[in-house]
Formats: sequence, structure tokens, C-alpha cells
Amino acid sequence: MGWERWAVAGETGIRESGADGMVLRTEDRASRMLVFVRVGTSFFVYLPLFVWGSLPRPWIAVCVAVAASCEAALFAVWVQGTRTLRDRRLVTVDVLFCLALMLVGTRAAAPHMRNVVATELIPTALAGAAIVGFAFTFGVVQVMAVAALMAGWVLALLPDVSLKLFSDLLGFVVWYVVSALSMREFRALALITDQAQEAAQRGAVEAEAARQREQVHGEIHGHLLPIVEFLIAGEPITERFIRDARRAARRARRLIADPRAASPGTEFGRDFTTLLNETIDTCADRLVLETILVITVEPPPDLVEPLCMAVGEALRNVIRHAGARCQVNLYVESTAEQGQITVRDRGPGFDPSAVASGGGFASTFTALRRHGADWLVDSAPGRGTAVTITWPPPGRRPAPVAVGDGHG
Amino acid sequence: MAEGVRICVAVVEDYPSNADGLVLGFIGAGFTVLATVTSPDQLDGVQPDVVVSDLHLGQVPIRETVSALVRRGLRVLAISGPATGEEILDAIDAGAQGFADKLEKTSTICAAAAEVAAGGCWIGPKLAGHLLTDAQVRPLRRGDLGPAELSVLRAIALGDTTQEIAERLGADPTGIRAIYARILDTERRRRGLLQPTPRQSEVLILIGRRGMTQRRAAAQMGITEATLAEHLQNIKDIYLRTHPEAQADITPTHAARLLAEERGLR
Repeated sequence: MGWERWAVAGETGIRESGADGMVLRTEDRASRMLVFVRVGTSFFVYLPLFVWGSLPRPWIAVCVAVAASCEAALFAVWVQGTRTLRDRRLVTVDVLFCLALMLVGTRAAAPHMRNVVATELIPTALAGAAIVGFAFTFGVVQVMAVAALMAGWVLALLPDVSLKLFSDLLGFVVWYVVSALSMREFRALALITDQAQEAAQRGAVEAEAARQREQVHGEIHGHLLPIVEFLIAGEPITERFIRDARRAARRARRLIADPRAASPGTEFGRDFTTLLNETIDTCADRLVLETILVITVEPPPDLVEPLCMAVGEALRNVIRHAGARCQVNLYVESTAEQGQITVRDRGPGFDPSAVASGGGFASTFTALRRHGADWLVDSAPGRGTAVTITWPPPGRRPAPVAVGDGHG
Repeated sequence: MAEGVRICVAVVEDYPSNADGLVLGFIGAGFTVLATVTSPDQLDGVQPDVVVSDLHLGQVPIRETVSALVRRGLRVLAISGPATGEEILDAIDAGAQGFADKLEKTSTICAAAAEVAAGGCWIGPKLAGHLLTDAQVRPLRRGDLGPAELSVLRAIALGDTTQEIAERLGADPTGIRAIYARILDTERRRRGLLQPTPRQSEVLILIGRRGMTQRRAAAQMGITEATLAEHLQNIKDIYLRTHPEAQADITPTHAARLLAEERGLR
């Protein structure tokens, strides 16, 4: 019967699930706890040195104390590497060491005085029984290992036998049983937690898949399919149809090209990009619009809405003054170095000095200045128009201006 | 396009009506269309001046498509409709000399093909945007894009032509074209940074695309769940570093899902 049987001897079937996160973490914690126990109990072995004069072979006590410290250090390093007590070589070494400790260590004292030294050795020996219990819980091999420790203890004390011997032997049994029971409970709890986490994870994956299915279904059913069916029916293509088709294509492309756009309402919430896309959507179907977004840093929160409103206003101006078929480029750069939005059309352009100030253009853009942004209109008859909005990058932002005037 | 010299083009496109549209556009612009195929291996014996290749050919990874063409010594102009930034930049890294959006006017795609056929590069507004973003999230320690390159990219993103950029910067169009080549070379050096390892890509596919639980994915990969969790954590780190706007408390699984979608992993 090999040591491998120890692992399957438990009734929880945990070995098959040993790779699970919480079970592994529990193993790791338990092993670290036992390192504390092993290191802590090793100090008791130094106590016989305080009765140096009454020991016939004190050098044995010295050797045993040093060996106990070395074994504790080895145990700690070993466990740090394996992060589990379920290592049959580790537990075998520990049990053999405990046996050697008992049989050799007690020989430092005279035969009738062995109980005096043994009292200092027993915490270390009992920790050996606990390690067997924590490592592999219940099983025949485990019981045999504890029985070997108990037998070793009897041999170590002979001929100094008293009622205390039975108390010590009971101690081995109790430490082993309590450790094994505790570890079995810990592992069972960890397994249940693992299963619950997996169920939750599976649920989240399924919910996300369902949400995405629903979203794709909505896009196909509500936007793309009417376009395709309209074409199949051979209906005459109207300006309205082109606008709808453009909007549907834009939505579909965003759904495919930007995974985050397909995850509204997740941790990204309604960020600048989302709001900006919503703004663009309101005008994009009436323009030949190319949008380039370079957004790695969110603009200041109080600027997000004014910026989006200004973009909407600029696009509506293009529709109003340059015509629906006008080529428009919208470039947005919001990075750690620069905040800039440019709406540029290749329409007829105008003379900015000839335009009277006021109207929605002025009020919308004036709001930007209140939030630390600035704007500039560059246009000339026949050269198109470029509206550029800039704002300072994070860290270089001046205090908001209380009241300000726009440029136009 | 030089007067009297017909540029030979091959089209790699698996969607027939798209391929037909492209071919008609090229013929109308005076190109000679040598072949219209659905995969690079059908180009045996064909030596066009430029291959215009769709990025999404069935389930074939984008890098594989572009690399297969480049290995044949062909100059590649990548085109796509809804490709993600990562996919487009992967195509550039694999050796494509430029990218044009399928939504661009046919005349623009023809101009791009002519530019690539003549030994140049083509950076359209969409690619310019992705290059600017990538420069932000994957900065190079040395030899990154300088002010001139950034200005050029911003101008392209705003819809400027090479001629307009040259006029605005007071430079020669040849000099601007040299800047394009420098930009793409810089990007190819950049693409090595913050990329998932092959093992992490496997995790991305299993968890991010196929929606497996960590336990099943670990079992399929033959690794412990703890190792898988480490891979996921590293994936999350890559995601956060390449997406500075993302929230730091995003779950590793969600980060894997987003990264897998973004990278077009299947």
C-alpha cells in the first residue's frame, strides 16, 4: 500500500479536484500554518540544555536541538516550494525525523530520567502526528505512521514508564485525529467555495453570451435586416433609405470593431467614447463622415458633456451650411499629452469675420471655455471649415473660468 | 500611376460581390487585374505589382494571410471593413505595406494600391488613428515616433492627402512618403511589446472566445487552475496597460474576453 493511497483515502474526493483555486489556496494556507507549528515546536528541543549538568550525554541534546532547527528550516523551505503538505516525501522525512528525535534525543538523559527530557521533546513529536493528519487526513498508511510515532515514543521512554506515557500516547491520537478532521473540513469548505465560484462564473459567462446574442439580434433585426429586405424587394432607393443604411452600417461596424462598444452598461459605463458615439450617431446618417478616435485618457468629467455638445453643434453646422453630402472628418484625440477635437469639412467655407456672434454656436462653444477648453474656427470661402477644440491634458489643467466669451 | 504603365493587381477576397466591386474599380482606374482569388495559396505563378487582400478570409488568422503573401515576395495592401485596430496593426506587422478601409472611395483604394505597387506605403485615416493610439499605449523606449511623424499621422487622420500634408509642412511629397515608411517600421518594432504569449493566446481563445470556465480551460490546456489564473492575471495586466482608459478593477475574465475580441482570436 503506497503513500499515494493517503490522498484517496479521504471521503471528499478532493484529490480529483486538487487543482482548484480555493482548494489550492487552502492547502497553501494550511501548509504555512504547519510551518509555524514545526518551527515553533523546534525551540522546545533546546530546553534540555538548561539542565546540562544533570545530563550524562549533553552533546546528544545539543545535536538533537541543532537537528530540530535544521529540519524545521528544511520543512519551511520545502513547503514554500511545494505550497502544499500533500507531499509524501516531505511527510515521510518529517515522521522519520520525529522518530529519530525521540529515540536519540531521550538518550541524552539517564534511563530513569528520560521523562524529564522527553517532556521537552513531545511538542515536536506531536507536531509530526498533526502534520500527518493535515497532509493526508484519514487512511491506513496515515494511522500506521502515527502508530509508528507512538511506538517510537514508548521505546524512547523505556524504562522510565509512568502514567504520563498513556497521556502522551493519547496526545498523538488526539493531535492526529483533530488535525485530520480539521483539514477535511477545510478542504470540503474550499471545494464547496470552488464549486460555487465556478457556478457563478459559468452563470456570468452565460449571461454575457445571452446579452451579446440579444444585442446582435437587435442590431440585425432592427437595423440591418430592414435594409437588406428593402433591397431584395427592389424598392426605389431614397435619400431616407441611404441614411438608414448608413446608420445601420455604422452601428454594425462599431459592434464588430470595438468590443467595448458591444459592452454598454459594463464597467466602462457611459464614458466619453460612448457619449461621443451617441452624439455622432444623431448626425452621421446625414453626412459622409469619417471618424477617428484616439482616446486613451478620459477628458475631465465636467468637460465630457460640453465637448460632446460642441461636436454635435459643429456637425449640425456642417449639415446646415455645407450640405448633407459633404465630406467631413472628425478627429478626436484625448491622451495624456493632448486633448483635441477637430471637425473639418470640405464644404464652401465662409469668412469668420463676416459672421455675427451669437446663436447656438456661440452659446455651446462658450460653455467649453467655462470648463478650461478653447476653440477655434478656421475657414475661408472655398477652403472648407475646420472647428478645433482643445483642452489641456490632465495635470496641466487651469482652474475653470467662471464666465467667458466665445470667439464667434 | 505612371502614364502608359498598367499596374498589375491581384485581389484576395472571399466575398464575391466585394471582389467584383474591387475588380470593376481597378479596371475602371486602368489597372490590370491578374487574379481574383479567395486565399493566398491560389496565387501560384502570379506576380502582380500589388496584392489587395481582405483581412478576414474565413477563419484564417490575419497574420497568416498577410505573411503567406509576403513570403511570396508580394507587396500587400490590406483592406477590410470592420477590422479592429489590433487586427489592422497585426497586418502591418506581418508585412502589409498599407491599409485601406473598404468604405473608402474606390478611387482612394486604387490610389493606395498604386502607391504600394510603386514601392511606397499607404496610411489611411483609420490606420493613422490606430497608429496614434498604439504609440500612446505601447511607447518605445528609443526611436519612437517624433513630432514630424505624429503631425503627419494627425493630418492623415483629419483626411489630408500627401500633397496637402507636404504643403502644410512645407516639405516635398517624397519626404512625406519617407515618413510614412518610417512610421510603419516604427510600428513593426512596437508590435513586439505587450503582446500575449502563445500560451496566453490559448487562454484568450478558451476563456475569452469560447466562454469556458477556468476549470475547463485549465483541464483542456493540461495546466493547473492556479497557472491558468496567473495567465489570466498577466492578460489583465496587458489589457490594462494597452487600454489606459479601462477601469483597474476589471475582472481578468472580462479583460480576456475584450482582448480576445479585439485581437480577432477565434
